[in-house]
Amino acid sequence: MGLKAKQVIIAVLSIAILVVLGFVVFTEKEHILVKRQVVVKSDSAGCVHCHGTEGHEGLPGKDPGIVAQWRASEHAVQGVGCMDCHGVPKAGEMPDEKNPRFVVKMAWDKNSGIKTMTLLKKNGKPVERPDIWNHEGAQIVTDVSPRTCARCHEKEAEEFFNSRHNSASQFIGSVDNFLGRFAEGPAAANSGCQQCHGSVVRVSKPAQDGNPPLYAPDTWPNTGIGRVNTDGSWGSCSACHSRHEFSAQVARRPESCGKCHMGPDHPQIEIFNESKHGIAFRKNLAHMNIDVPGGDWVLGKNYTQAPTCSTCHMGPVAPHGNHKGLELTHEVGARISWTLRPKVSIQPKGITGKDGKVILKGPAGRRADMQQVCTTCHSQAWVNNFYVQFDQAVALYNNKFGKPATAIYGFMKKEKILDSVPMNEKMDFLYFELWHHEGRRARHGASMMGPDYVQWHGFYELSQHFYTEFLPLAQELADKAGKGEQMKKFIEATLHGKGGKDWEKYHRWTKGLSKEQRKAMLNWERETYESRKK
Amino acid sequence: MPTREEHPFLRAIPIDIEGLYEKVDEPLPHSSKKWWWCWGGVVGLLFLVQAVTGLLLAFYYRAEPATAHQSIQYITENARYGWLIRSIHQWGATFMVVALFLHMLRVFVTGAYRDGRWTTWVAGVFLLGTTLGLAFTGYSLVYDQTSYWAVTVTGNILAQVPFIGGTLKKFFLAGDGINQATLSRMYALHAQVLPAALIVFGLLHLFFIRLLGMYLPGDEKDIQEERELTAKEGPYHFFPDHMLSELAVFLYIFLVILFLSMIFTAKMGAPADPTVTPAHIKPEWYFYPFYHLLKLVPGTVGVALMGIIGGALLFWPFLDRILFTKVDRALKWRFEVGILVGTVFLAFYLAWAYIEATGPGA
Amino acid sequence: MTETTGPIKRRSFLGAAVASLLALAGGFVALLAGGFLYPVRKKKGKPIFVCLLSQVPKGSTRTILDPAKRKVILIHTKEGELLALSTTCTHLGCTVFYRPEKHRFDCPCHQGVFDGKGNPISGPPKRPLERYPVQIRNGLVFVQFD
Repeated sequence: MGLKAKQVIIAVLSIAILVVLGFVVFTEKEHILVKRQVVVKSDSAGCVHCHGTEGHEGLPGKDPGIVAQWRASEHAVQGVGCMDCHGVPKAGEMPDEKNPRFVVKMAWDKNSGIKTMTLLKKNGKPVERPDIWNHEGAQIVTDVSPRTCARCHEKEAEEFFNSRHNSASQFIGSVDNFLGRFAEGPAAANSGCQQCHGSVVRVSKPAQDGNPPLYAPDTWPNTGIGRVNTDGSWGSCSACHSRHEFSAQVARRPESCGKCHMGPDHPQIEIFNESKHGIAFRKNLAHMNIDVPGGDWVLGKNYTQAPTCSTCHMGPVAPHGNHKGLELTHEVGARISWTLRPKVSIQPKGITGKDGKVILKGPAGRRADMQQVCTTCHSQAWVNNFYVQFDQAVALYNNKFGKPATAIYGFMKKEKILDSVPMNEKMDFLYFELWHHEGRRARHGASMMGPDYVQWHGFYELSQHFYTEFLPLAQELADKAGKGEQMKKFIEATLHGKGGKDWEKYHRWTKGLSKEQRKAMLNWERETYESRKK
Repeated sequence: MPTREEHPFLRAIPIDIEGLYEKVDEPLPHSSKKWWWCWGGVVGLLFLVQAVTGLLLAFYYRAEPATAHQSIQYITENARYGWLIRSIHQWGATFMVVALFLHMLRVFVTGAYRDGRWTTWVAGVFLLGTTLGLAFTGYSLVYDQTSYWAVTVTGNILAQVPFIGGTLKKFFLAGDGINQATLSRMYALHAQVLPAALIVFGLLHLFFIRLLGMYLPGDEKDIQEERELTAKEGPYHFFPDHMLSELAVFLYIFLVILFLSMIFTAKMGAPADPTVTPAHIKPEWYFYPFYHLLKLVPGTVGVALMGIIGGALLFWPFLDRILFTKVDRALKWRFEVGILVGTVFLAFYLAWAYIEATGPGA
Repeated sequence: MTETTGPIKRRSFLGAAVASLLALAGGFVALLAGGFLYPVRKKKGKPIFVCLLSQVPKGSTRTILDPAKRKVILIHTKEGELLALSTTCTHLGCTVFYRPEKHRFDCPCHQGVFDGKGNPISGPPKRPLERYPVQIRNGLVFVQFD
């Protein structure tokens, strides 16, 4: 092969190499270093070192899972470390009533609905909480109260403070409480009721000689949402924002709410799962951007496919149509017009603070806010009609079952047909379940479009129990107590209601209906719905 | 020969080009005009590729067990063209060994080590050992599971060498087992000691070629033909003729390496885990036959066998002379027994390599 | 022996062409190497929570550490400005000492002096100490270090 031929080959190969290298140079995308950097401040470095996977002086880490969870959190990237939550500020570093070092007193005025938190003082001085202890040169506590979270998350803490969530443990004196503690037993209350509602955390043995304080085992561990902490405050942010990751994302998931909002007495998660909302959610979850950073998950902006619990009850809503949009709120009652919990449902009035600031809007305002969520996907006419359906379901429960049963039960207690002890007789349980179980299921089902809960788990059982068990048993017990005549009269009066209207609408059918009477009932139904009573 | 009249730009260089040219331009036999004779130069040029890419990688590589794997991840994922430079380095290593084997094959078949050229051959065997050492130490730097366990296994193989095995292992690992100093040792070997050795042996190899000239293969008729051709046309020059052939082959190989680097980019295994031995540890492909040998015979026997093979390779020119002068003549064959020996060796090498390549964990 | 006519000219041209192509290819390799060695940009970091505003009241200072564990002085001036000053001297990079009693920064290397806000007042430094952006949200102090 001649020189020239070789040179040509080399030239061709060089060009080919040039082309390939040129291709590489011009198509190479820059890989910008995105390093998720965990910031370990000097005051928390010791904690991370000893409790994390590195361990200390040859011994393996004490709680590597906790530290690993923290490392994965947004807190770790933002510079919030162990001491920021488990440490307590020194006296004077912040106002005493805000300082988690000192104990506060909570008060809840049931009339105005206003809750107050005041600094507890003994001999004019603030009182330190009982569980502070000295550990490796730092003063720390195990039970982190919402007042600590409030140091940074002020708005959320205040909204949570005003909501029914943080007072979930305050059902002392209620039938539920009596049922749990006495009819059942302490273990039932501690491992059952309190795990959702929250315990009153008690220190059984104070810190001594460098040993940590001991919490009473019937009160700790507990992340009930209304937990009464050792600093006197109410609530546990960890109930929804599981520690130590404290993610906003976990709280968006219906499962977080479903830990407590489930079961025969308030099957919200089951109703959601049954409803079209739940179906749409599960189908579309992967595309709903549910893991975007906290505060950024806005209905109408990042997602529209389906709502979750947090969407309707708390989440931010983008402006649409004539609506200005809604901000994220931790006041979970802010958009609920009815309370479906009690024996007879009411629309609670709003709460205004002593300074005139609106803490909770009135029912109309709350409903309008909720409708802002609905109208992101549904037309106003659609929403209006839905609320008529919902209101009528609640009215049906109230007027047909709730009020009469309550009146009759009250009569039995007053006339001493039943003794004064709660929950010790069959009738106690019968009445309890009427309003507390099937009565609630029917109402909740109507509120969140779970038809089976409205019907078979709800009104069906209501009518079956009311007519075939409650009323006959009431009469039987009255007869036994020698008050049969009074009971008969009372039941009749109750079922007739004012001017006998209730009898016509609700209870005449038990005696049979003629053709005209049936027609009248169907007409009444149409009138009720079309009169558009909001 | 390039003159200053033909190539004016040469006037700018203040060296006696003509004199230098005369010293380095090796007159080659016309029979070596084929691409088959280019592999030696290609090995050298591929070493240049390895040196350049290796130097670039050294700017980011960290020879610390805790961060080595990470640093290579950085090179592969973050540094611009890092994936390409690393892949060229990895594919380049494979091709350098392939080119080396082809060069050895050519040398062996043409008997180029004959007629007193045993020094060139010995330098070549040292070059082979150094290249394989470079390949091995290079892979150990990735510090993934394969790296870690390959070093462990190699240390244990060294320990099987009779009498000095334990000492060899200690030297190799910088301790009784893999420790903090082992990786630094591999790195120093790979980036400093062995490249320097390669250059020294390479220069020696070239020196001896220039000193002793190229061997003319074939019988009397071939040699006569060669002499006539040289008389008629002059010698076949290394510069620029053969140099350009080697360059052409090298550029072609480089293009292939580029394509392979872009399509089969270098990957990394899981980071080294001293507590977990993977189900199948395999060395690089050129070690497969020895790996297989060690599966067939006990350790000491295997090491001894490898020692014998190494010795045979090193002293091959002398063995070959014995075979050629004593055995071939006695047998009166037109066939050289040496070739038979080489063929048998090659057959085993390829067969065992194939078995390992297609076996479990391939 | 040599002629400067056709055949020779083509040979020289081809030779020059090959040499220049090889040089170009070499140039590309150099480009690749240069790109490889030039450091990759790091994505801008987020502001990091350092302390509560109440922990650094007006007229006070607080020493914090940046992610590289170097000292940064947080100064809350009497006028209400919150500054996060780097302690790296702008002359040749030594670490300055903060003298709270004198409200100034002293550099031990070449006796540079900065005032309480980081402005150079004497010595070789010409540029003020670097200020990291400070954000105050809900009484929380965040500093952006990178």
